[in-house]
Amino acid sequence: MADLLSHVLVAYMLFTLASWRVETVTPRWVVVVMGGAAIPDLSKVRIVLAPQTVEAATGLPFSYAPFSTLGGVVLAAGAIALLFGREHRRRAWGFLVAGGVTSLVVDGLRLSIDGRAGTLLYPLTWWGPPSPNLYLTSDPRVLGVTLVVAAVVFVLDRRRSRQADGRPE
Amino acid sequence: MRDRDSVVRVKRPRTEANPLVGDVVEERGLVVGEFPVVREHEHRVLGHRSVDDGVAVLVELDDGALVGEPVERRREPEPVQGDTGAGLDRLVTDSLPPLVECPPDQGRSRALVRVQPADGPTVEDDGKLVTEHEVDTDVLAEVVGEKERGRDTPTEDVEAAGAAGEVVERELRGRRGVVPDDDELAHTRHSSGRGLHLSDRTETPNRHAGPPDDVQGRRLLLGFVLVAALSGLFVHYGASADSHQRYPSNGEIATAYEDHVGETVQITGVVRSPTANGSGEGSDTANGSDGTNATMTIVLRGFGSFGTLTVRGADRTAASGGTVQVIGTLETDRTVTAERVLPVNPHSWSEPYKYAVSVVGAVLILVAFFHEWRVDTGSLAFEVREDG
Repeated sequence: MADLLSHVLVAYMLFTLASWRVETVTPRWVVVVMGGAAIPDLSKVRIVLAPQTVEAATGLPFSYAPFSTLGGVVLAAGAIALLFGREHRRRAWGFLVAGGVTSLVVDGLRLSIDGRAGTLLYPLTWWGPPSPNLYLTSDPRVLGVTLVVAAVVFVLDRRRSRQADGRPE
Repeated sequence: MRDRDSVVRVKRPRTEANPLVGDVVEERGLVVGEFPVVREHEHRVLGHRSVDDGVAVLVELDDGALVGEPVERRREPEPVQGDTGAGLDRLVTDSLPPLVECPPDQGRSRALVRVQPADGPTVEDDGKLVTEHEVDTDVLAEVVGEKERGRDTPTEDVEAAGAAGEVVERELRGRRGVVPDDDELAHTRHSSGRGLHLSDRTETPNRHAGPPDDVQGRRLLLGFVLVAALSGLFVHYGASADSHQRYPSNGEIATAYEDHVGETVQITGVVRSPTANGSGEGSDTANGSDGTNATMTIVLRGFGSFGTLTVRGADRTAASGGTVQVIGTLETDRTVTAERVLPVNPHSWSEPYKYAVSVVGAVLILVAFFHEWRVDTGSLAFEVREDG
């Protein structure tokens, strides 16, 4: 999967652009989307607590991979949304899922040895969508491009909101 | 206490030193000047008719409403009643103090408030919660007056109140241990404004003590359900992913190598020693270099204890410390003949780079998020930061 920073920046770019058109997408929700974009990366918990350790402790087969799938994103976003105030929860859940799905799509574009993007749609299906083999996460150019585009969006957004409400700054 | 004074009978354990009683009294401050005894229609209280559905409401009175009619009520010792608060059990379900809910065989307690079934509706049956502004002073005054006429014996206690609906329930919930240890009701007067009004205590304190607990409980329950479902996915995936893989992978090879010899496998390994073979394309400093027939020693990722494997025939390799995915045929002597190789992390620094960058991403999320949101310590929830 792409690195977390790229995930976050892509989510930021897409939903900041969306906020120019859609009223409900405000900066406070863009940051929630950015948080949601990190959900697929939660599978890296394995670095801290290896699934084999969990298996040994519980006697059950175990994998963190569902974090990087649709089902995992939906459930994890639900749990995270509960941390929000009551009146925000539904919307928070929606934006968290949106961010997570954004990252899943980004991950689906990367290079894959078997040409498949992996079980992104689990548990709906084990079928992996074909991957366009666009990039390799470890390639710094990926982040470089993302950073530049995100910076452009950031500047444009600043300029735009300054024009909109005449805020100093 | 005069003969014709009605009495609010309360139930409490005889243990005079019960600290809970003192605490609650201190906290709530029984600032009720008087207890007008009002009649409650059963439907208003719990929405169904039942003998036990009567309930007492403690309403704060202003002097002006009942001039010359002080409704002073003193608690007086009462003989143990057979029905010690039986009606309360069903009325006050949420947080009625255990004091009142003590089982019947504990005859050592006395009733705090005896509940008596209501005789009938005294207010229009509009079914709405009566707010402060909606209180019909006439109705309240009327029933209080009736009470004051001493129609009932001092043991009659509180009659069900009318038109207080939900307020009644909340009020009751907050009434734990209203009597101080000296068996005397507090007589603090609390007059604010003219006319009758429901005590503000019926509105404020329990709003934070009652329903929010339910809400937080539901929140916790839902969170538990979601985490359980997510854990279910983890286990289900762990149990069934292998059978949905096109090729056996690290886990199967590490646990049952011999079973997969001759099969096409897909492995992910950390490169130990890349060596160029034949092509002369050096890959110690490899850059996902294209060796035509390179050999490398790898360790199965996640299964380092399994030891090393040799990958032959790789068209690409990675530097030592890098990571490769390989699809190839598993041979007997811990060897894989590669068909395809993908250097996922071509350099030794590739993986640290990804993690470092990801940490930056995590920090960015936190900074951006808490620029717009804050933690509300009261509700333990993220709320919009007003100054954000």
